[in-house]
Amino acid sequence: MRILAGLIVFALCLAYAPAALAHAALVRAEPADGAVVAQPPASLKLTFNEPVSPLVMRLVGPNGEMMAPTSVTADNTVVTIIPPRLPQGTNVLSWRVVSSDGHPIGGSVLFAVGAPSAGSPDGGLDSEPAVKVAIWAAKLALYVGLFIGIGGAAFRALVAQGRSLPARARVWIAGAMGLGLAGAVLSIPLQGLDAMALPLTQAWHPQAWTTGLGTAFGLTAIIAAAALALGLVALRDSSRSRVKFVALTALAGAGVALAASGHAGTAQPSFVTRPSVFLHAIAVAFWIGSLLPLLVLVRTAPQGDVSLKRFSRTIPFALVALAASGVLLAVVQLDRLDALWTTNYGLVLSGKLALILALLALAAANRYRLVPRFERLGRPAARPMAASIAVECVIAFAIFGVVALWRFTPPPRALAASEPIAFHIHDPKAMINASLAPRRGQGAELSILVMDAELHPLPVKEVTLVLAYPAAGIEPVRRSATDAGGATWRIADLRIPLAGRWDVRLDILVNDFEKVVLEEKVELPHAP
Amino acid sequence: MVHRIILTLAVGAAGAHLCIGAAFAHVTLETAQAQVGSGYKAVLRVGHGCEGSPTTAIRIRIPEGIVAVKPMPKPGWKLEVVTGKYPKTYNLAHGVKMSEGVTEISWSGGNLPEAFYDEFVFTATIADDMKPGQAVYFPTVQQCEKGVHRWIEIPPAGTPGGADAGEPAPALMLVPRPARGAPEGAPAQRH
Repeated sequence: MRILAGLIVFALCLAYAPAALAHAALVRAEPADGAVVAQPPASLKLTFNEPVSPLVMRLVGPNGEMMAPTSVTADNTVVTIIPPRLPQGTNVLSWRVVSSDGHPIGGSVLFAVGAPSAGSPDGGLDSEPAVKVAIWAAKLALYVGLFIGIGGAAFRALVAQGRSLPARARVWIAGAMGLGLAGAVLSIPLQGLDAMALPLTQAWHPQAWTTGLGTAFGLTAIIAAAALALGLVALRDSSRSRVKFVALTALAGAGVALAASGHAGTAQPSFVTRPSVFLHAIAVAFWIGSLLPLLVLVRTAPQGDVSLKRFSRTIPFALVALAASGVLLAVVQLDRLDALWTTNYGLVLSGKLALILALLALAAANRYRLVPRFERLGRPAARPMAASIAVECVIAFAIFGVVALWRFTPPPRALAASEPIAFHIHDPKAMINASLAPRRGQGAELSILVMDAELHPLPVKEVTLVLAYPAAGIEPVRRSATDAGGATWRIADLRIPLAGRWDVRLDILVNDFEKVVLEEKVELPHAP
Repeated sequence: MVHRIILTLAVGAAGAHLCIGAAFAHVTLETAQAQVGSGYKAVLRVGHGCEGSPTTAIRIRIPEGIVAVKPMPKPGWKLEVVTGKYPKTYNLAHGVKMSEGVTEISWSGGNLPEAFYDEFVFTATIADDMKPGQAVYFPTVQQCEKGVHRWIEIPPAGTPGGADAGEPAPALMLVPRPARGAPEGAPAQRH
């Protein structure tokens, strides 16, 4: 027994011998952070101050494409990474190693091959066409679900009160909502693929999902899915008051989902544009969503259906809201009238406007010619009316297809000026106002104003920026800001390898012994 | 009986070894606990330079409530103190009152290579009216030939300092003074 105890002591002493080593730190990187090399490097070397074991090594190219290294070897304190042939422009080596005390450390080394990237003209990334088509299709499915599906459920609850819709209409509406749900769910990994410029075959990769959820559109997809689920509930329910409540909530959810992200809702002043997108979406859902149930009702219900009358009475209000919000959004997005035919965004808008005019013309013909005939004559006049509504449905579907193209065209106001992104982070002890202005071919310039709790400028000793994008696997990039006077600090030539929601951290050294750390998730643009 | 003692000692030794191993990564205080109202000998352990560069100066700021500070000189290093007014007047033993004293200590001009370890020592008294059960922090700046480590991160009030904190300030946990009759801690500072 005593021998056993002695052996245990001996074993424990051996096992827990003090590892007097600390967290490792990167001493040197080849190529160095911020370096420009003439040729794509054959190997990348990271030298640490003590032996480390590599955990993850990732390479991100100038267009945001992820590449895996060909081989990674660790020899004592030096880790050697053999990359594939790196493209011209700014590349990122995102590294993560573990030191002998078990503590992992990570960082990113940014270097340029040839010359730092000039950046593509529309600031977008080059995904493969299959991904773009898939994104368009998912968006179209989402519109069908939100407008035809939830709109149809809202029609049933609000306009066709008490009179339940024929089963055929409900099946179609439920089908539309199911399609919308599929679109919402699938658009999440597709967004992630687009952000990282990965091919379509990688759609099931967890990284595509986490990156997609991390984008602003991820929020839209989640709210839309919730609204569609509510819509399905509203469709099945029969209690009148509850159905109204659930359907209205679903309708509001559809509006919130579409206002949550996208160029339209984020344009300045956003307290005007976001409610406009919300109103526009709800009006569209009410109008287009009513077409399908009306089509079925006209065919099957007896003469003078009350729903048709009620719809005709309320639709003018929806149309006014639609037109007003639409005009306001178009005016904010287009900075000149000729942008309607000179920019891609304007062309899509022109197509949408043309189709809407056709739709309105048809709707007017319906309202003033066919509806009175239908009310007078009943069933015999149903066929031309039903045909007219069917054509309206087709035009509406075409409008959705055209509008979904906006995903690929930035609005003129975003092209006109590299619009600076402003963000603000505060803490009880200090706060910052920051402004990030992308500069073509030179990354971005970040300007930081440091203030104390009473909003007075606060002179500090040092400001360090740490950027990380864990969802896309990019380890922290550190940049020191230079003092530009008046409590303003600047970082020029800040290269952001991917657009998306980055973890932004600012370490502010107030004095030798005091540091304030401010952290926030900020949507940053691609700034190669 | 005997093997139980040995096992306890072994586990304790293992635990101590573990703690020592991890703690050498940061600049920390050797004795991390002190009784309120008693004397305290602070031993600041420096096990590393800055990414391989030798340490050339250690500056430590004394927090509120730690009074009557006397640093220990170190051969080859220049010892300087900064004195200032305390936020209030503290009562020490024998009716002595202190309203100002050392607020910052600096050992500079030395050279401690990465391969070597050294300790920086000072004695102090924990003021009587400090609340036990909280930690006080000694923000420390470690200047090296190339670079600087600022061990100045203080976790927000109420959260215990995580081992994952990047560069935490050396922490001292205050414990209540023992009940009357029980053996006392280190004798208070004598002038």
